[in-house]
Amino acid sequence: MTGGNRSEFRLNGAGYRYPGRADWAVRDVTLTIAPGERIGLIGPNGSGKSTLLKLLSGFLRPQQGEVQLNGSPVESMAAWQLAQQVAVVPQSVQFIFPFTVREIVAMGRLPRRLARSESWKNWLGGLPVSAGWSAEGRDDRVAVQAALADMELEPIADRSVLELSGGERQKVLLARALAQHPAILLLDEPTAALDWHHQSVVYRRVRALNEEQGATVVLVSHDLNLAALFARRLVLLDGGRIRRIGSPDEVLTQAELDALYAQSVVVDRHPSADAPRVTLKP
Amino acid sequence: MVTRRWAPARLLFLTVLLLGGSILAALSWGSVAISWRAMPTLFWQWVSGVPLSPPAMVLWEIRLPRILLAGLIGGVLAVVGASLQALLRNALADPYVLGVSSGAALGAVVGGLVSHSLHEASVTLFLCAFAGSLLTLVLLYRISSVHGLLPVQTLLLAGVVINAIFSALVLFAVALVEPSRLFGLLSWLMGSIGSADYRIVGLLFLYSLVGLILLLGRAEQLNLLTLGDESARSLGVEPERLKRLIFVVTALLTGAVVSLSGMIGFIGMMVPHALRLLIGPDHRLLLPASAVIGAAFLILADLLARSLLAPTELPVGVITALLGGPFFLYLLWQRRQGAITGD
Amino acid sequence: MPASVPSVRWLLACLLATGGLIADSNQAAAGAELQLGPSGPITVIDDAGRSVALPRMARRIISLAPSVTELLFTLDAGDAVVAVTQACNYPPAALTKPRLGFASSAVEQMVLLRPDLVVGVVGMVKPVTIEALSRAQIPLLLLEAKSPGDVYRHIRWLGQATGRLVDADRLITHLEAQREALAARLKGVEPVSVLYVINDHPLVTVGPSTFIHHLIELAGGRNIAASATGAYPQFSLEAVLMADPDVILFPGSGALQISDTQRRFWDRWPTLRAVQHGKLAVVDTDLMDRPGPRLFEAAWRLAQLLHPDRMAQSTDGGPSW
Repeated sequence: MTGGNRSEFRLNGAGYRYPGRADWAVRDVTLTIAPGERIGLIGPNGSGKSTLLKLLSGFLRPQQGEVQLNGSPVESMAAWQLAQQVAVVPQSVQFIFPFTVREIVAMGRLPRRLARSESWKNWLGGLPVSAGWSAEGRDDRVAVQAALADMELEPIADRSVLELSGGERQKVLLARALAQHPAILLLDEPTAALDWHHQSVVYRRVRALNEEQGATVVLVSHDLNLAALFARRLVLLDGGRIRRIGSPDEVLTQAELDALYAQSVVVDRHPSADAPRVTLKP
Repeated sequence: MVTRRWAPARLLFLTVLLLGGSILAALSWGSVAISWRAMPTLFWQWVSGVPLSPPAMVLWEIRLPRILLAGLIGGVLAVVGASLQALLRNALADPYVLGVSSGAALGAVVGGLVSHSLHEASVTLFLCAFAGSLLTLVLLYRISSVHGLLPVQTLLLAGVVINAIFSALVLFAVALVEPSRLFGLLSWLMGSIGSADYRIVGLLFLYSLVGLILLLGRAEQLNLLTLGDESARSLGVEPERLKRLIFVVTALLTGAVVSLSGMIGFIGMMVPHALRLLIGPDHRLLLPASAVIGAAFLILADLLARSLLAPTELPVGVITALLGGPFFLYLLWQRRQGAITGD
Repeated sequence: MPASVPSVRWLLACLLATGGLIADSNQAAAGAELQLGPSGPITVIDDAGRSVALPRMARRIISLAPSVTELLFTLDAGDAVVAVTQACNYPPAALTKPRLGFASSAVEQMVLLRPDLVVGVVGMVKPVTIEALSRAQIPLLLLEAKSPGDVYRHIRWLGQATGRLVDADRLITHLEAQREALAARLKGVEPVSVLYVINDHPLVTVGPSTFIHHLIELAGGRNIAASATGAYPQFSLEAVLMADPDVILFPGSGALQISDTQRRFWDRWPTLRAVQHGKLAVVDTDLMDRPGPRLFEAAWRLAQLLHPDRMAQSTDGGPSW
């Protein structure tokens, strides 16, 4: 965890096209994400939100333009280097083997240990002997415990993840990201399967991470209301391009949403927060 | 419900006990029983360079190298199986699912058609089989690589196809082989640890050591790989690089083992699978445990293969299948009783 | 005398003929025989359990095994042989006979040759061939020899099929004489333990139900695999070391010598008596593996290997034709 987060994402005309597809999933995206920002990526289905997030996480390499983290292109960074700073909560994970919740969360500590073994390797002249057989240390256990507590996962900490509900799984994935102590947190639809209480828990925790530890949070969500409540800046995507960037008030206007969502929603004000509210038309 | 797992200490104790016990049993039993009491004297005989008595000969020149070879092969197959189960994200994968073994079999049989000096322990057979496995490795890679990526589903499918085609070709070639050469070939195809000597054991050990270290040293990365490419990458593991490494290392190890001893089945799938149910899926424990238990398992299977119908020897592949199947059923049944949801 | 009453002479003649035929059938060793009368074919149950109608006087016979070829020629029925296999190399006259090809082409050849009898060995003739011959209504006789008695039975069958019953009987008598001569020579001798190596890797030897096993016993030997299961068991090296055979035999043809690789392999086990005394020998498979007329010659040669002192006493009683 970096106290004084200075990690900045910069995208210059970034674009990506999935192999074998004619159309671009993301196109001409130019965007700067400042350290400590809370930014939401929103848009209709297929607008490229998840793809854009994957470009940020380095999982996909841009075929157009550049994606930079602190001035260096993300694609030139090794995965373990990236993982020192960036944590990802993917949309869904298919668990095959019966790891316990605790074990999955503990995997979030691996990047730090990998970094240590990488420095070892340099010292040993780059021998690719081991890059992943290490035991957990005390600080690892502390971090894991804290993450479990934050996400209210302690009661099921020793259960197999194969037995969890969809919502519980999402919480586990977030706990794993939290244990990573990242400078930047990328979230892809992190609350899709959660009930109100757990959605609230998630958003409070992520917000605390941002406000107390200065972590940058990039959130992909199709839930416009939660994006409006949580993010300070919203990026509205349409067909892979940025349609609008601005504060929730600026972006979530009736005009914009009518155009994008075929006049199916009505925009008004949230009763207790200073944010727009979007509701489905009857 | 808390997942029940064996504590590492208990596991360590039991696996070492099992391996040690199986080695001792295999040394003592066989077509002729050699009592444990007699072993120290026989050991001194061997070390002191005196001409050996028949029991000493049997013990040190036949049984021990065979036990060592069986242990090595069993351990390698189990680790390979575990790694492939992680790579392919499938708990039923085994070292032969990708077809490398059928390639080795095809190489062996084609060699049998061409060469005259082909028998179970011949270098020619080994080289032909190994060449077959290498070619299959390349073929698999070519077929499955898509835009420089190695999608797991494609790999699996390619393996199934190759297995089918090559198995058919093997049968075709066997039909053409001269009956006088069939003995050696068929025995090899069914899996046998027949002619072991210290040189072979040593060579295989050195060869496998590299591969085993590469795999065991990446145990945690394997853990991550089972979560999917995206999760793995976000936690610092390059999935494509790791997949390629596992693919190549496991193929090379499988190729060597199969070229040496034919298709000894079931260990590669059953040992890691059963162990995972008992000690959990963390590869830091699973890989070493698989190595040790795989070794013990094949040592015992080979012991049975040469003692059940003594003095006749059965192919060890038959024994592994007969032992493995029912035991696995039993384990599954036990787990079903206590499981809430199926895995 | 009334015409309906048969004359005594006629009755006596019938009785004699029947009696002779019954006596003949009593001499058969194993395998049931049903006589259907002097003019019809004889039906036998062959060694594969099949009911085969043997022709009375076969003029076109196909032999599917070297031992069968040898038997037919010895019975002076060589002229009736119209085709043999690639392996049939004795007697020299057999080499002039047309040779069958492999697998399915062989079946076609066989059918086109219009034989009245095909003789083969149990387990060596593919089911497809058996099927095809049966559909073409060509009698197929399958033989399996495990002991000399079996060979005698085969001689009788072939004698009947070729109308050479007298030659058959003579041959059997001759072979029995050879057997007695050998037995007399080896009387009271201590059996020598033998390992017969059919295949080196894996080590495969002969089980107690095989012909070679019986040959070994006839020659005054004792097969160390006498207690094994199966006809060609894969034997453990351990068992060989513990049984410590006096002699190790390898089948071979052509240059009857052990190859260097073989020698190097067996030299690894100096505790073996056979290795210490250099008692590793190659025996001619053309002789050993043919349950035919030369079977006692094979046994004699084998006995010479196993008991050289006993067999070298005199030159009489050796194999002769």
